[in-house]
Amino acid sequence: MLDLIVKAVKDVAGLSDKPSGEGINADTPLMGSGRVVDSIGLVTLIVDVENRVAEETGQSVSLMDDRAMSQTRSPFRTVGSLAEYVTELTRESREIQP
Amino acid sequence: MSQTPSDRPVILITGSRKGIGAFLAHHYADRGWQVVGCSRSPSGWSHTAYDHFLADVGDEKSVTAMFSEIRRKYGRLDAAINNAGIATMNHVMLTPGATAERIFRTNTLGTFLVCREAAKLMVPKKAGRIVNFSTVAHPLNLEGEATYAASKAAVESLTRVMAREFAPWNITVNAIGPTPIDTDLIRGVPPEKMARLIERLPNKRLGMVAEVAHVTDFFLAPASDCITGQILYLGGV
Repeated sequence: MLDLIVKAVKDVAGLSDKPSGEGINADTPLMGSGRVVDSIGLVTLIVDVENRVAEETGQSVSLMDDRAMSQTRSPFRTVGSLAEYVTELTRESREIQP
Repeated sequence: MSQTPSDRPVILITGSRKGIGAFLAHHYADRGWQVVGCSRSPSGWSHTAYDHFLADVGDEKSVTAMFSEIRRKYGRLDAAINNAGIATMNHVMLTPGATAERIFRTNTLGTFLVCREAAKLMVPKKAGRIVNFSTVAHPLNLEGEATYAASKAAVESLTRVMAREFAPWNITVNAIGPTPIDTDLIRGVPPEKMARLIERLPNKRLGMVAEVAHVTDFFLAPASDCITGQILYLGGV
């Protein structure tokens, strides 16, 4: 899942073909200081990740659910936290829809 | 137009089983679009470029399931027309809360959910057209249509705000506000009430579905790329 998120971040941030794109990893911030995407970029990224998950796994997940909105620590803080959150959502989705 | 099914631009039209929705579905299927339609019950008609889904636009799970299927089958969505809607004619003091809730669920929440999911499918292409349905009952403040008019006033507000929010991806969001048209939606309205309503219009006649299609054609046209957040009423309102 981390690879999928890293690739999505590179594409959305326009870093896919740039040397700076190699620096995107689990610790890369998506919010606050040092973030690699602006607010519109973060919306694009969330939609892009939903689309990629649907294409690659056939699972329909909504990243912006009530749980994401209510968490004190946003799952969209870093590339790594987003990857963990998406992994959790897809696992739950598989359990509900085997 | 000699397009293969996969070349055809894909348009979703909600509430396409009958009335204005069915007319628009035929209209665009005949003009080179792959039309995806939906309603809560099966469609009684077919067309080679028409695909019908069973979905309740006021139910989030039903809407997301439909969009998953659209993504799987077509991999794209170029336009969406939020035609599905319900109405009731009743004095506020005689309107049950459950009726008001049902109207807001289908008309307002339904429009919100379909717009949200449609935009997500349009983001990758950075292009898209969304047309919502309002009504002249809102600007005319028609007595007896409080919940219907209010649900559509909310649709107008959604339309204007979403036009701004979706603009970074070149997705336009507009709305049409038709005058009463001879469909099931107004069939329960007493003739004398309808006559009084029409009397308040500058153009004193019922609207026609072809006039609605004329407006949706305008909003969907490639040349309308910079037309967004607009509400266009018929009948001179």
